Amino acid sequence: MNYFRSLWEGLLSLLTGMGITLKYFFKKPVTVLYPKERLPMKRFKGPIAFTVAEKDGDHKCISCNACIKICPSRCMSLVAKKSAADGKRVLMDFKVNYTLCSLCSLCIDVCPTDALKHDDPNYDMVTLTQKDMLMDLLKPFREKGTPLTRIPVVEDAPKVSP
Amino acid sequence: MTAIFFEAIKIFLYCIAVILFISVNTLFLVWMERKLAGRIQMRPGPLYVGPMGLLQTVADAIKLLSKELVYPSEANKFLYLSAPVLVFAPILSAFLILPLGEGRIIRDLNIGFLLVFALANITFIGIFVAGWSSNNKYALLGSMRAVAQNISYEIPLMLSTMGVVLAAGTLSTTQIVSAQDKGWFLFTLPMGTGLLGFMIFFCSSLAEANRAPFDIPEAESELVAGFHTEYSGIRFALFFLGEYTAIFVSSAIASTLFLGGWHGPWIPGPFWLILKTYAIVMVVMWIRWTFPRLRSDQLMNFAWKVLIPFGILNLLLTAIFIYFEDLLR
Repeated sequence: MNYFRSLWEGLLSLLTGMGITLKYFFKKPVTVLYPKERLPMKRFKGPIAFTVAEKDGDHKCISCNACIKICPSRCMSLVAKKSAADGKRVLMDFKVNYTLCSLCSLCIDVCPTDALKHDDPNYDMVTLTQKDMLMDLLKPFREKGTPLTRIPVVEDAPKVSP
Repeated sequence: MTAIFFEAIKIFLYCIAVILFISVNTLFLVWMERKLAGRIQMRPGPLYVGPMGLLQTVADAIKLLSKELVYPSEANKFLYLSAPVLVFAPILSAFLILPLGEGRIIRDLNIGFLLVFALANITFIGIFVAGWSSNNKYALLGSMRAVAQNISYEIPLMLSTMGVVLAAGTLSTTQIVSAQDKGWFLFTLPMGTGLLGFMIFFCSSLAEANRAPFDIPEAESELVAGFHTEYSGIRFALFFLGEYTAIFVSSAIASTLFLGGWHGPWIPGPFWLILKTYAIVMVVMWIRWTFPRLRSDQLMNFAWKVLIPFGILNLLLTAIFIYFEDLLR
């Protein structure tokens, strides 16, 4: 009797299993066809980028050099000049060598004006040469022509040899 | 003289037609299996090559044909080369007796499907030769398992078809299908013996075709690829072709014996046979992507402790019922 019962239960379990796969057969595939479709990423540490200020669409960098001092892999560099109008420091150039960056987020933590962030959606950064990894953070702002990039600056006086 | 000449040409053309059909059929079945597996696992399956990925298997076939033919060192060359043909060729014999319609059959043999089962067993010799000659322990293990399995499952396979033979009173496939013009043997055999017979036939034919969940001869997780581990390129393609054709053939025989072959309303007979066959093939694939592989001892237990007793019981019951039905008539 045990033999027949085990057979019957086995048959039922097989049918149950087939029912489950049948149910899944009629469900919609969940595949994301990656190069064509991309999912928005949350809490993803992408490359370093400037945050965009809400009021004028500009960056918030005050060229204080705090990020450059704290960076353990020394992957950042900036060039600042004096404003012709009020003598404040104006950011001229901000570059990150992404090949060196270890994504430690120290620069983001230390920034007094919250000017830096991780670029979340940029999760498939692949380049053919290292040169493309040298990222110019000011480039999008220059292309847009935001106010801070258009401030006239004091040009350095030509050095006089002693 | 001319009669012999025309007969020879006819046989030649039949051969070409059958080989063309099984090649295209295999390409389609592989595509179908991948699509089905994809949908069961909530994936879309092949997509990019051709419409709905239909040409994906064609691309795979071209890749296989252009691959290097690796010849393992210290393999027995003659046996190694002959094994793929030994596996592939006997399955072709089944197309001799597949009736597509009234009179639409290559040879209406009076021993019918018995011949196919007899010839299809040459396949296992081929599998063993393949495993032994490739000088590889995985291949040898896989082929030994295959032979043990196929010898065991041959018995219930034959026993389950005997109910149909008792009811139809013949082994010829055309006459068996003709006897089903009032209803499929699956349902018309007395007291549900048709259903039981069909289930036994289905399980054993899964095992005969080395198909999951009875695919221990080529258990990927244990034996790499079983008996065809050492084969590459077109030789591997022949094994693959043989495997899928075996599935198609056993499904076609199942639909001939139990599901009424070409009988069906509205559309012509051959389409009905193909439709029923593909329906069974679909269930075979559905089973493959549902169940895990059986262990070796479970496999043997299932054949000897379940299928064979039930096969004998089924045969006896069918015989008794048919005897009393004839008495009452």
